[in-house]
Amino acid sequence: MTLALQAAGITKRFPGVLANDKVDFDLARGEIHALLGENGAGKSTLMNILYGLYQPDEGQILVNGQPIAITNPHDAIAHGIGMVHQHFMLVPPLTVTENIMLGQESVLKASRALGQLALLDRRGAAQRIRELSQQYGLEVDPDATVRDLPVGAQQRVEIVKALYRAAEILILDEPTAVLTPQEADDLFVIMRGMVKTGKSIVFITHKLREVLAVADQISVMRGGKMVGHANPADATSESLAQLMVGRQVLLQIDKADPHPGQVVLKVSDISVRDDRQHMAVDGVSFEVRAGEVLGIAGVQGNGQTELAEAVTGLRHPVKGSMSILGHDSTHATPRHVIEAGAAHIPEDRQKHGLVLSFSVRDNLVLCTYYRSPFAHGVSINFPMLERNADDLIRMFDIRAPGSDTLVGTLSGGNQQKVIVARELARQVKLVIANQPTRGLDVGSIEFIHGRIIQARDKGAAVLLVSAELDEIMSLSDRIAVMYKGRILDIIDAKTASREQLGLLMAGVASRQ
Amino acid sequence: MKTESFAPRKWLALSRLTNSAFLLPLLALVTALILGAIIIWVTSGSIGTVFDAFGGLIRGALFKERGLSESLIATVPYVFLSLAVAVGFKAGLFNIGVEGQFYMGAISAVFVGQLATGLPAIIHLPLTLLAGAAGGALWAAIPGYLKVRTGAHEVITTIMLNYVAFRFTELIISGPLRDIHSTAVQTTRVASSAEVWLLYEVPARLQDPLNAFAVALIAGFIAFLVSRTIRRRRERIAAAAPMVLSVGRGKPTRAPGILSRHSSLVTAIVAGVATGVLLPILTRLWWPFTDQYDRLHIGVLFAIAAAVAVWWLIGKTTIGFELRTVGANPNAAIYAGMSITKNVVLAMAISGALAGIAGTIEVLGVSICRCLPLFFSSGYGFDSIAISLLANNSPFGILGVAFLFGAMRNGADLMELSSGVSKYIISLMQALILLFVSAPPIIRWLYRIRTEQKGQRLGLPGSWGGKA
Amino acid sequence: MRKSYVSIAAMITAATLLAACAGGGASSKLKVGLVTDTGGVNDKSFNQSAWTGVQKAATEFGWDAKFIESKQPTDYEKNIDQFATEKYDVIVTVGFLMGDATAAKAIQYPNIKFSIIDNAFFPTKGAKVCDDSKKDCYVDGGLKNVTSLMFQEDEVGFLAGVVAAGISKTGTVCTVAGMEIPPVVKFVTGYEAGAKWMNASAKALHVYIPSFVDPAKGKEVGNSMISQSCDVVFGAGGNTGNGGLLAAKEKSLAAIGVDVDQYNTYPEVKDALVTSATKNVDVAVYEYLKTVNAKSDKGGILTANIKNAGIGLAPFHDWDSKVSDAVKAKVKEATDGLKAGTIKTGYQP
Repeated sequence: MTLALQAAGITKRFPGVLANDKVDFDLARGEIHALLGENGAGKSTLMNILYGLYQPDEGQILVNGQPIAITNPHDAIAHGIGMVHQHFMLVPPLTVTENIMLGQESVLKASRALGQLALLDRRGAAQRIRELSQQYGLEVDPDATVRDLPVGAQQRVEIVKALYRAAEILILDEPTAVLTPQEADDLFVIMRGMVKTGKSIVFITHKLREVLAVADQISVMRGGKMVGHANPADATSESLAQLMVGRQVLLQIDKADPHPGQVVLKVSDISVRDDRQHMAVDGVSFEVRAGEVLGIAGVQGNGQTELAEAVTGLRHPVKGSMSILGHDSTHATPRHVIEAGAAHIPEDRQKHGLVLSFSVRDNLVLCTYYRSPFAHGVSINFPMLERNADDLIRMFDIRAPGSDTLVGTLSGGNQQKVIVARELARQVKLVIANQPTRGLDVGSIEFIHGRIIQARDKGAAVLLVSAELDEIMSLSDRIAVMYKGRILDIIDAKTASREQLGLLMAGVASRQ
Repeated sequence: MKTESFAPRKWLALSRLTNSAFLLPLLALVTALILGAIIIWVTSGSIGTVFDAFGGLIRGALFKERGLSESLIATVPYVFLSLAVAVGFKAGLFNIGVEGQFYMGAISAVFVGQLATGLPAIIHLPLTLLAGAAGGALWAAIPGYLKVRTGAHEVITTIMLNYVAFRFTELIISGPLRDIHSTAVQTTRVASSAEVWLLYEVPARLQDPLNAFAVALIAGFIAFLVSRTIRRRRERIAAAAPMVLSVGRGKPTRAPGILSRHSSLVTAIVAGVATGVLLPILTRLWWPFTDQYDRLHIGVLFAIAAAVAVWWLIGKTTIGFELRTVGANPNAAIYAGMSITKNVVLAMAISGALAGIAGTIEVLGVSICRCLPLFFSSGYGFDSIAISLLANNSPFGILGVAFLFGAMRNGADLMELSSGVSKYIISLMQALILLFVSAPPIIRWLYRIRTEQKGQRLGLPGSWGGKA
Repeated sequence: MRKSYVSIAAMITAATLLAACAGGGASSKLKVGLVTDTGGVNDKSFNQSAWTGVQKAATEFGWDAKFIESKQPTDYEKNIDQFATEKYDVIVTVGFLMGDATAAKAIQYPNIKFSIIDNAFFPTKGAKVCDDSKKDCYVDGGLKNVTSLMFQEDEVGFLAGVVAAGISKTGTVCTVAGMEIPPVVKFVTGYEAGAKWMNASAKALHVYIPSFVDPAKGKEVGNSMISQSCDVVFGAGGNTGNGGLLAAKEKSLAAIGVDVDQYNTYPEVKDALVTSATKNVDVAVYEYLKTVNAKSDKGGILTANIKNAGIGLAPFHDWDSKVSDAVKAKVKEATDGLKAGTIKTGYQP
């Protein structure tokens, strides 16, 4: 088996961090090589080095056995290395063809004399795109505007873009993070097709199920080092998770029976409009008691977000009422809700939960900065903030060089831990957790789940919103299923089956 | 990621330096000066002219008679207006209406300054400054309110309101407040009690016991703040050590003794009394500012105080924390329970107040008629946007950069006189500085500063410091 | 031995001579500085005209001449001081707005000669310099070293009014005026008196606009007066007045410029421009500097009028053929009358 790509002894330092520590990585021709690791393990750094975005401090890169220097993405493309980033690098108002041509514009022969002003050969490029998409089963309309395409199609455009540039080696960075399970399966079929024609694929992910389903070879990174290789035939989810995290991992949370107490959150017949003034939540009622987790299940976009926003005061209901511990909170501001003892882990951590340009220290007091002991009057007590940050960083295992590190420079998992630390370290009576583990790696998910159950056991009422059925089922004591703004049913988690919930999520009410 | 993998300290320090907020502006400045020199050389055809020009610039700005004073006089409005711009920036607002707020401050101050006569300076001067601040603050609050209520962008509204302010002041100056005894179109002179003291006047002013009392109060207040800050810091560090995690449970470990609890007050009283009694005598015996034609005024001290106050407000208080949060991520601010309306209007008001004080000081301390003539300010406000950017919105950085701009503005005339080089070369150099600061890649490329430490700059999702 | 003594002596003599020459050269070469107001030296108006006068004198008498442009009113003192501390001998300032600053600096530097255009000092109650206890600011008010260069704008305004009424078809003439300050008021008063002298039934309109730098407003006001049947627009207010000239040009009517011959400085309106009521600031400044050169300057007020040609109408240029000989004869008559003092403009300070 010949090696398509070889990275030998790659070391990369960033201020305060050793991101890659003498990493070796071999990619054989015609294989799908999964690169597995937690957030912050050094996977993206390694790939960015291969793609020329970073320069290694030490080490060598070989393509087809020849040592090469890659100083920028152009070099990488010239050597047949293409990369599909987790966040797409597309220009939304341009068409698919224009996006793919960008940077490698072919021009009409007749107009070549015009130099920079030569006319673009759009038709020729579109023809080439059609050929590629047929060859690999990548359905792409060359004339569509990227802005109008769904996420899955945009990803296919990215892949075609790499193929258009004659990539022999494709790096796919977390390609399934934005896809539905169905779309992910389609992608795997395409990947299989591509390796059959001799292309090689590096598949970066932290989802174990996918690795086992599609990879030919598995490499695992941890803490900047390459810690092991595995063959999917011999590996199990548990063994891979252990390799990734470095210890035994609980894939299923172990929790005691709930001891529900008084009603903490009472929601009566509320209706909420979304930004486009559609009735996103339509007459919803439920109660959450102290010491229990109520899970809200449902396919994304069925009003869960608006419901969570209404409960936390970010959005006001147009009908109905809510109360927290008996005090009316229907028109409460976010500040009132927080002061009533609520903690909120928001759906979008970067948009709502954090100020990326602030330090970890400041983000950890985002909701309590004005209260004793963090402030006397208007004057902030900085030593106390430091102390708080140091304690929480330790207790919640936030991987940051220091409390003054900017949150924007942390990995997604660590960013989420900052939010969880901030929200759950307080004395809280109500926790509203909306998609608390979306996009996170195994270790972080396990940690955050543990913290949520811990809050429940300490007597907090927990309202958990998640689109991940596994998460709902493993954490909840009771499960409410939302469909088109209504709660179809609330069932006991112990008796709930995946099939029953699936039917409810699809809008088929069981008791009707 | 692990502690043992952290880079050596020395290396870290070096990388901090190359990444520091100060290196790029400094290089931008140096580069602009070099380019300016080359332009002078090429256009004049003589290297000697370059030396004449820079010699004249430096002599005019610093060493000639009253040169330094004049540089400082120009620095004062720059400091206030740049602080105003910086406060806006911190809250995510681009207040380019400081020029208009400057005018509104000036006109309000003139109104109060000439309205009341017979008041002692201890009341009249603060009252007039307050009026100026209020004029600017109210004027600036309008675009703030419009932004949150209607979504009207403050860049548009502040610019528009600039013109309204110019025309409004023209109307007031040539109408209700016009000095009918003067041939020039200008307002009536403010009362002497409302004037900002020239440094030359200080000994004479201090002979008035009320003025001495006012200075004593200020000295006492400063002493109180300094002493309390030192004491608090010591206490807080002690209290933070055995901190209990959950909010509300942390308590200072020991109650401070009665003397140490009042030590700040004692210090304040001692400092105040000492100043009030000794300063008038001391200034009588010896005072460095004896040139009666030196226009340097105590507004310089106000400017320093304003920089300290803004630094404290933005960096050390819950108010500043809210403003910065709203500026950095309004969604997170709402989530955390902060009011966008309150903070945007407040930020604009603080910004406007600073701009208003700038106008006030110019009227009360620099304008020869101690009144507001037409065409009062020219370009201070717009230069201040550049200063604020160059100083990276840091209040103390602004003190330095504002002095640089003030000195260049002042030294430019002598530069032109002694070398024949047009003083507009200064504007050109300032424009170059701004260009380099707002387009850092040029400087990075010129000096081969590697950018990859800042992964975000590449617009990539991944970044250093944790993410693989 | 002897030889070396001689050479040393020769060297010393030479050095002394050289030093004397150098010193003498420096002291004999007079330095004159001009401080402009906020309009700047290329304002196509007073500042520029003053600088022309300064340059002419400097070339003729072999002086050094420099200018400093003021960015804002608070710069006036500083800029005058700039010249003073650089040991300039004569400092010329432009415009009444610089009155206070010029007076203050004239007292600070009694050995420097100051000259201010368009501003005269009179004892004023409560003034810092020269209050009403003084009889004459220039004699006992501390301003001995100051010469005020004044213009009788009403006289040249009168001539402009004669022309305007002479060519007007509607019988209505008007003025787009700048700020209501003495020089502007004099222009307006003279212009209207001249129009009435020419045609007793002539109607005269004017609007004062509190700005010299607002051509848009000037144009608006001009148009509004044109709609009230004014067909000769006199623009007496710097750039604001220029807006009035433009309004007339766009309506193909007649316009009269001010201060300088605007046929040269504002060619965009030359089709409409009949003439300009010019204040020959360059002449006045030059004449003053000539007295300085002749060491005959005495301070006080120098008034430029029709008689000494410090003011006057600019040539008709393209309108020469369109202005009838009768009108030209009336202008001549008025000029003679003003010179002789038999015609009064009616301006009361």
